[in-house]
Amino acid sequence: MAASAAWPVNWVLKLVLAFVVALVALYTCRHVLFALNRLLGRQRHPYLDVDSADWPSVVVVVPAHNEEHVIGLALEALIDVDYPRDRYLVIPVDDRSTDATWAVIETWAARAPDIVRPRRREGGRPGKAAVLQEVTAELDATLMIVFDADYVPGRGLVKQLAAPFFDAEVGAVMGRVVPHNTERNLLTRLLDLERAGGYQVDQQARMNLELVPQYGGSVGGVRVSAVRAVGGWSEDAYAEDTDLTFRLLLHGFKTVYENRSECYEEVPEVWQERNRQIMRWAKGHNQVALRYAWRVLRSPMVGRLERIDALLLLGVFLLAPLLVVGFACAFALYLMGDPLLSNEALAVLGVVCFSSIGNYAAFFEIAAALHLDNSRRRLRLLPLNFVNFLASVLNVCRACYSLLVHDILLGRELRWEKTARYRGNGNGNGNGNGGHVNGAAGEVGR
Amino acid sequence: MAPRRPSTSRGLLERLRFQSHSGRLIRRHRALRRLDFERASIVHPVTLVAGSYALLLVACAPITAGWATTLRFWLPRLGLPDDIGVRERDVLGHVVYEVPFPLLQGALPDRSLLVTVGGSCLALMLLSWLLLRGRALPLAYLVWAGCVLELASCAMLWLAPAEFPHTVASHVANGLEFALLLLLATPLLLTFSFYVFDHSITRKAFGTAVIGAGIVLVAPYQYLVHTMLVEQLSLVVMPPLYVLFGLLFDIAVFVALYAWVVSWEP
Amino acid sequence: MSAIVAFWLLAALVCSAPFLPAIIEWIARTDAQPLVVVREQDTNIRHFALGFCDRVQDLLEREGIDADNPPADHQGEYRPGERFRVLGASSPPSWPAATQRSRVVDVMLVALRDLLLEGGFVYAQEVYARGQIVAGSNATYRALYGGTDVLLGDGCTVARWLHSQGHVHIGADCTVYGRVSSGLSMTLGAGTRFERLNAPLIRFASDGAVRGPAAALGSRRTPWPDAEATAALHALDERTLRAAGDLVLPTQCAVRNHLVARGNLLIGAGSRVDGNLKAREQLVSGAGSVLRGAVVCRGAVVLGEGCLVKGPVISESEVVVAAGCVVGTPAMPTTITAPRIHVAAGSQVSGTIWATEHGLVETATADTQTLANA
Repeated sequence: MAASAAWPVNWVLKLVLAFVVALVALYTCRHVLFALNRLLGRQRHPYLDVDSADWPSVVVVVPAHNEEHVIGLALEALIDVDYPRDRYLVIPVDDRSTDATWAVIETWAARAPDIVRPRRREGGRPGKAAVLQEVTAELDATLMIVFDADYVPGRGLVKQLAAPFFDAEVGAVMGRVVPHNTERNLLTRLLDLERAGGYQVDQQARMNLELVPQYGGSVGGVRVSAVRAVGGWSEDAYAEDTDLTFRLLLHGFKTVYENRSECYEEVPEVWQERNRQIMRWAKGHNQVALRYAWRVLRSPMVGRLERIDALLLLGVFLLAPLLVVGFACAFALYLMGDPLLSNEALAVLGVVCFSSIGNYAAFFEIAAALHLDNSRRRLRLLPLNFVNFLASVLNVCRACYSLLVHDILLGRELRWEKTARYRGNGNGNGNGNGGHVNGAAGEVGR
Repeated sequence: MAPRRPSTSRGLLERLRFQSHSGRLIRRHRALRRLDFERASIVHPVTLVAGSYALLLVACAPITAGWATTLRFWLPRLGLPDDIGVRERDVLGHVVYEVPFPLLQGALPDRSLLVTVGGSCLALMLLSWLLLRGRALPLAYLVWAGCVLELASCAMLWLAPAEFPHTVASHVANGLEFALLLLLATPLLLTFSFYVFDHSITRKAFGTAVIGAGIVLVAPYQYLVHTMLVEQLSLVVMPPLYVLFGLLFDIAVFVALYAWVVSWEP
Repeated sequence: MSAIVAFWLLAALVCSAPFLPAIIEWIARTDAQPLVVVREQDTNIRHFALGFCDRVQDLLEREGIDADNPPADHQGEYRPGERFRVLGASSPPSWPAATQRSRVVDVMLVALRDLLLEGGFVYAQEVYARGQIVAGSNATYRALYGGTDVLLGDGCTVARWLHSQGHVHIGADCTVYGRVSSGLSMTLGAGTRFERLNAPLIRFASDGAVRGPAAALGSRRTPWPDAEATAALHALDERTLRAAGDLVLPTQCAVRNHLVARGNLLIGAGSRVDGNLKAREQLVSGAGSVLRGAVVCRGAVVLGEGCLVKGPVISESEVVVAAGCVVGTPAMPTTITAPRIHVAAGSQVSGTIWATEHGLVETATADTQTLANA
């Protein structure tokens, strides 16, 4: 009697588990392909070697909210870049800072008045997307390059990011971000592994295979006319960068990844900030998935392989709750005495536990990235990545719940959250020497 | 008359082109670097996979015999009966491997123990939520994961203790069998994740041996620990042991050793 | 009891051993530094040459040599294993018998006046001359720096780089790996293979001025696309049009838009395109066309005879430049980049040419002609 009652439950669990395992296997195959392509395949860097040209006009936008400790270095580096002066502007935008950000910006604007044209926002919607939308509306330049206030670009970076736009089909370009505060603690070191896998292998493989590299919002640029053609920046998007990537794709533009265009960034140094970051990404990414997945499936502008990759890319943050469901099913089957299926399923799901969730950089993908980076010894931390996986899964699930319940069912408006900074007087050479959190992390806008 | 062209050997020209003054190779920037697809890219994986399986075919029986010896050695010394059973797997009538396991049942917990364990889990979750902040936050996540599994086990053993399908014997047999399967899968797992790298074939072979040896050595002790804990604390601890310190632990051992061997200089 | 303790200790040791490398790395931080991102990196083609000049300057200071009043000949060791020879006179240096036999000169040469190098040798270290370098034919050079002109004889090989503050002349059938740059101009002889070239003016197997599309400039052109052609194209933005397949522009047309073709893009002879061009398969420009924007293609780019291209030319497979083409101007230098670049004799480029696999200066052979006229 008990067995017959358990029979349908058993089969439902097996079906759900089989679906999750199949999905995980699909993603794993995708990332094996990426790793092999990056290691052994033909690498595409078609625009890297353009060093003499009639360069297009470029505006570098630096949105800043309470960035007094870091924005000076960014502006100093941006003033020093190698780009024709008559076609180059830097627009730092102080978005209602309550610290000395504006004073720092004014100091640098006074030093290079021909290049730096600061702006100050006192009203309107807060957040990066709103800043970019406002600047884009008034912009008289071909390209807009966006840097976060803690990014310190090298001299050649702006040219490298501008070069792909000679290709009329390119709508956005993305460079590689390299964490500079890796030495701080285990979290920063684990995030360094995640970034390496995500950029060095994942993004470059997608570039090589002509799939869908992702525009990431900083150390990247967009063609102003393309952004206008797709309706500007989405101010109601949690991840305006991913949102733009997909709108450009649907309109027929391509996003290009430039692996050689490297720039330092700060990664979160405390778990709470990391949790906020991955929740923001998950929410934004899933919002984009809900908005565009169906259109990606049907759009004639998207190639067949691009379509598959785009859908898998859109689904990457849905994997976390599915993994939890998969583990729960496997555990339930174990408790019901079906260890054979739960054994195999848990083995497949177990391998994922050492991957990073944000970009699904599987453990061998991280190994490939560090091998190419010639920084192999840090790979030894890989088994410890389990804690990052666990934290990420939990928080991505929270983000999915929040998007579904708070945003969709209850119709709550977008909450904009600022990323915490850790550098007090960082020198931008890779040795973050600050230690305190600058600004109120998680500050809520309207 | 034009001077005779010097007999620049290919080696000398390569040295001039790609070596610095100190004789070090001038490497490409990491962004542009890739591995050359050469004969070794095919020969190494094929040779190592074939060699590993040939070796495993021979080594399977000694490995499981070694596990049986380890169990027989420790079980009486831990105050447990040393009766060993064997689970056979055969393909087309040919025995591929025999996995040993202790012939132990494990006791079902009584309800007071379930209440104690369940209450402890809830208290632990609450404490970890209150105390483990900042750097220790992931530790809290680990505690929660373990506690959730333990609470599920308590619920199962409270509601239907007779339906609990596992014994120490089946648990250890499953676990050791999984370790053996992981060992058998290792060469395949390494094909695309290690054998394609530019390490020498001897390093790759040695790395494979290190990973295999790690799995083989850890497995009996891992499941002896499980046996001890279940015998001491009853079957209530078996499910979390199965998930967190069973299969996932085996995979963690594989990943840890993989990370170590791949981190060696090529 | 002791057996139980021993068991737990042994089990803890065995089970934690695989994680020791991770724990040691976590604690010892042997590889915790961030990756090095060089901020000064600005893709300057003269990077190595400038670094070498700094070394030479350092060497002269260290040896107490006055560059204006140099000794006739001075030898020594700059760093362990790195021998140098400073030459004060313009006459060709003489070599010891062992070097004469091996034909390998394994010292860094620093000439403080002009330098005449005997052909047929392998110069395995860098060569610096404050004045002109006349490098003998059929020789192999690691790297050359000329304070004024550098004249490279026929059949030479340069392994790493060559830079001149003045003019560079590279003879016929040479192979120049790495970077070759000049502050003024450069000529390459027929049959020469190259990788990366940069100069305000680069001429191929010709010293004379290149004609370019002058003959076609004055002719009347028809605006394109008309309403019918526009209807078949998708507007990516206000100025960019995309064709789902091939795109064929008529001869003598004038285009203001940026154009993207998912297939081939064929530009009729004598046309003028102001916008950027992109094709996924092949991009062929008819003879005498004027392309004012960039030319980008996943497949081969073929520039027909006498084309004028002002923007960068970027291909992911091959660029063929036919005779009489002018790419870039000294006032507005540009870049040609592709894995393989074939340039016909009698064409001219201002700026950078970067062949990531190989470049070749061809005489106007039938092959080039055929491709260019395709």
